[in-house]
Amino acid sequence: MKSHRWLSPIMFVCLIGSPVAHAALGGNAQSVQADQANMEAARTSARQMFAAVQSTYTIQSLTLPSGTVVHEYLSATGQVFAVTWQGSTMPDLQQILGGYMGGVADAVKTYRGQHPGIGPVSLSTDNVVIQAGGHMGVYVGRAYLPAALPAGVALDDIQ
Amino acid sequence: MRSLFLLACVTLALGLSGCGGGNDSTTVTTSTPPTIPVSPTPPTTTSSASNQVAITVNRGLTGEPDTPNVSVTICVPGTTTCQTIPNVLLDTGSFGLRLFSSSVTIPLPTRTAGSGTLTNCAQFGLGTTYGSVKLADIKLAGETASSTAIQVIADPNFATVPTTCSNRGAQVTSASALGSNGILGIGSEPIDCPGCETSASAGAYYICTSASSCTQATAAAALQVTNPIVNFPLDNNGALITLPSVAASGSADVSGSLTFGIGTQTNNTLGNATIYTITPYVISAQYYGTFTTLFNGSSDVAFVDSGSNGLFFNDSGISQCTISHGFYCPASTQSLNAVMQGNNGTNSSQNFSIANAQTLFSSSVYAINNLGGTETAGYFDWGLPFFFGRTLYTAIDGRSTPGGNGPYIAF
Repeated sequence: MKSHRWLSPIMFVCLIGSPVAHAALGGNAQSVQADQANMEAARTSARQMFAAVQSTYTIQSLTLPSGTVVHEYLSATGQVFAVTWQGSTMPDLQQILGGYMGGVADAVKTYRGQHPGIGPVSLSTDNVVIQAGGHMGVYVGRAYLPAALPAGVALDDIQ
Repeated sequence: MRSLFLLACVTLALGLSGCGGGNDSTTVTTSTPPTIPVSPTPPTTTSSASNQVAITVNRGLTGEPDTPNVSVTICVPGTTTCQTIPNVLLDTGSFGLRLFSSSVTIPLPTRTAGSGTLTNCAQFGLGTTYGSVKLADIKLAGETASSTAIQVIADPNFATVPTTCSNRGAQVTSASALGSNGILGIGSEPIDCPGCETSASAGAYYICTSASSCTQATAAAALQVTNPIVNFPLDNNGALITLPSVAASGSADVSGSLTFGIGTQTNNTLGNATIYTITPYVISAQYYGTFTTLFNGSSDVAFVDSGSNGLFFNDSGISQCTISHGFYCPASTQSLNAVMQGNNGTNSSQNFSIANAQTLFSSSVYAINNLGGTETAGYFDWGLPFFFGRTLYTAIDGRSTPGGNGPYIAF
């Protein structure tokens, strides 16, 4: 039970070798595995869901060491179209938002320029919607790609 | 090919993770505090207001409505070297005092831990504050929290934000982004990260051996940024927030009071207030500080939070603003109802209204009781609008009060 210092260099090499490993939202099924590894999460379940229309999607549940639960929504075509989180710590947003993180961070800064404070945030950029709320020690939120939602999936299904 | 490579890498990494399972964090333990010279005993002028400070809800620093501010005096521990910082956000949704480095002009000692300096990353929705942990005597009216750990945000001596902090949200580095010079967190927990006592993975505490060499660490309760109320000699079991009613059209400037202690003085008795118990950390590390709110047929996880500048809940039937995204902008004011339900079964029906936020934002009013916005489904955030026209009690986890042990809210 020593340390996992070995893990970091190996993952670093892997990430250099495979850009998709960094993209969860918008990424493929393997990016869920990358999220699991990089956040040291336990994969607790994978649920098959059936939307109102004929598309089917899967919810992968990752439980972080802090207890925070991350859900990654995977479409039948193998794309992560939504992520949600709930728990005592914020998840690594860079990890689960992947390439969308930069745009989200910029949007948050713009929003806080208009509405300073620490309350909930609900933002829409060109291609991603993100909501975050809660209070210290109880964090909840979700991000999704409106253009990538499978047919029949309602926004209230993402939580 | 890339996929195969990734798969191999992930498999390898998972395998290693399975073999390891530990982490390279450092455990922080409490060291003997430095001896602090005893300051002269102040004259005992126990006026009825010695446990009470003023709250203002007005234009404040940036004009963001429903931002309740107080003034906080900090001193180098055990000395008379002090300064008073105005416009500090009063927040029942967090724990501990956080001040921007640019506001702090007195030489506060840093909190050392292990072989380095303790730094802290606090997470607020999509924002994080990062900076060193320092010690200060915190003075609020006649109350003193001696040698209490605070966060100094954006400390230039620790300007490199660890990626495990910056990856959790956009960095909040200025008073203009916060709307205040700092945050006075007086919520229901004594410390800001109970889970950090045993786990380093929260991204909340770090030990830095240099400005840019910081390692995630566990932090004993005694080292953590601390709710100053619990360090008061008296009146240390909670607080009361009293704000006047405001008209539906809002008000430009209202004043109220923050009173320390519950049932410890003649000015903080529970009276007829009803107690709603909330979840303590020991019962749920994932839902502490929360109770239940029934709204629109949904049973929501709920909390009261003076640091949220509106009532935030999920109602897809109310139009959102096109400019101020996330806030509600109904064409006409909506009258709504929700049931608040304490863990002890106490419940009450609460009527509230949601007006057009865009109209309110352009009305030069800063105390508003009908401002609201969206929240993730299943959650209900009773922000500052709920506080107007009442006294709200917050009792701290594990502390004894005439109404039983905290944590609870009462009104």
